[in-house]
Amino acid sequence: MKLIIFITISAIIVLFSSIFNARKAALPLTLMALLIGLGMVFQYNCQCDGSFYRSIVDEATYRNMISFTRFSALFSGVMLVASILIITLSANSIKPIFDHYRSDIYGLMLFSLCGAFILVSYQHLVMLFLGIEILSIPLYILAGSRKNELASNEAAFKYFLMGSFTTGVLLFGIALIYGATGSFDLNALMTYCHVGQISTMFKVGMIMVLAGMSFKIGLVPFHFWSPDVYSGSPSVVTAFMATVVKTSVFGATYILFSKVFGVNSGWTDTLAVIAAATMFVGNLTATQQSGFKRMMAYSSIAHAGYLLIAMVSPDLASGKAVILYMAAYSLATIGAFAVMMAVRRCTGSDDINNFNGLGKSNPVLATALTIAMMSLAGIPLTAGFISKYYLFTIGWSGYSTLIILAIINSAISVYYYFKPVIAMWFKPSTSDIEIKTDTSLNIVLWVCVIGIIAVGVYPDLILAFAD
Amino acid sequence: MKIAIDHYIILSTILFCIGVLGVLIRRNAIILLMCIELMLNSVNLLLTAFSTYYGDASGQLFVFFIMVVAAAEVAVGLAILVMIYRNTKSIDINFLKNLKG
Repeated sequence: MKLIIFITISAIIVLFSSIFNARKAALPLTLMALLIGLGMVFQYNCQCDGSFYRSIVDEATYRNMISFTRFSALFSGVMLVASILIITLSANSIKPIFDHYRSDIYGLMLFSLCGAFILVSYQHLVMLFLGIEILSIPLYILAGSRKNELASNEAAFKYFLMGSFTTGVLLFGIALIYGATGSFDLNALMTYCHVGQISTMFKVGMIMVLAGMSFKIGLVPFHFWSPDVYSGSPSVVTAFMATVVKTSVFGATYILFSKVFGVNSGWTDTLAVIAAATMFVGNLTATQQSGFKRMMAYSSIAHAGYLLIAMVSPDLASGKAVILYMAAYSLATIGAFAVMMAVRRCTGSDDINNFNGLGKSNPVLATALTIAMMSLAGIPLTAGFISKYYLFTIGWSGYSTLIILAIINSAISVYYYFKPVIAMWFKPSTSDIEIKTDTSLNIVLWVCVIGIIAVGVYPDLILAFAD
Repeated sequence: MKIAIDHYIILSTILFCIGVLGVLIRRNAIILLMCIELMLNSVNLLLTAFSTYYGDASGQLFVFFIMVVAAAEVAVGLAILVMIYRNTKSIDINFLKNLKG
């Protein structure tokens, strides 16, 4: 809880640094705030020795609105690390004409992060709504932060339109749930679900809430906005959407399921169908893409499908698997985006043909992208493999068909993840533009690559925090 | 005379559906914003009705949160619209078709 307050205050300081002509201080201030935040998360994690879902703070102090558990601490940790990497990545990638807005961009990212923290620790539907809005409203602005580019404008408006439409659906669902139960508190909802008759109004409300959340995560059939928004937004913002936003809203959905329904509810069959559909749509459409960003957008849809497997049994083991998966996915995605940003900056587009011959001209970048792609595809010895393994073992006992479908999907995904890899190593270079990197980009790449391999060989690096 | 809760539910559902249809059918971006407002306000009506029905204030408190957030959201939405108008000189949403593949 102190974490949320601290990050909000630092966001305000960063935002105001441009007024006092201290724009250069924005980046170090933001990074410092995030590192202190990470320290606080570690401290929270050490404090709690008990259950995964027992609150660290006294819930009554915050009127049962928020319960910051170990689960929330771990999710916040993953999101903080992802934001640190993304903000380091942005140090040299913001174009000179936008340098004027640097403090605004960082400030908005921090505000968005606050919403993400609320989403992984809410205990009351008011906080769910506020969390989603605090997460989204800064993102609408960030998506359109290239004011003169029509693609960025379009992405911002599409995201805004879809986002606020979704908010309406989510709110109507919450209102119906309130009508059925007379309370917004998750514990009261749980009591309602386990005792007595569940009314139709509650079911309709729950479906609408889930529809609202699946819009934000990008689950089929509510995924169509994400490729457009991902490809139109600035790359830094896209990386933020693909990692932090996805992690937090998935965490929120997971909390809703684990706290309200528990294990063996009637919802799991529906979720299994959605999971299978999401995987197939994401992976099959990704094979058709020629742009790297659009491909990554469909890949993120497919990964949301894999993650849904954890929902079929929302217990302790799957909570850990989700955290491991999110960490692995975030590291690989940020690594891939870092390489794409270097290529895009030098060649002007993110088309996969622009990766041709990168293996000869810049072997470091090519190796990093290869490792990131291998992790996303789930090749052994990378973090992606071990996290997929944990996730699939959870679903295996009850939903073996779903797991077989997921494994088929992993095989399909190898095809498109290896398209840029083949382009880099086996195709001759088409242009003589040299792909340059800079220090901050190299640091991010090294952290991602080392992280992917370290977690892949020794997953306890992350799982140890959850024990 | 007391109006039963069903009437409120039906009324706000109708309002909500009008809002949804408006978002789906209309092509003018300003009208789209108005339709989204209609959706949010139908939720406000529903929450207030339930709040009175249960004699519980938390539903009405939620309405205040929705109003504040809706105002913030519309402010951002209009700002994005102004930005688009500067670049395209139009607020028709037909310009939302450049990104595809």
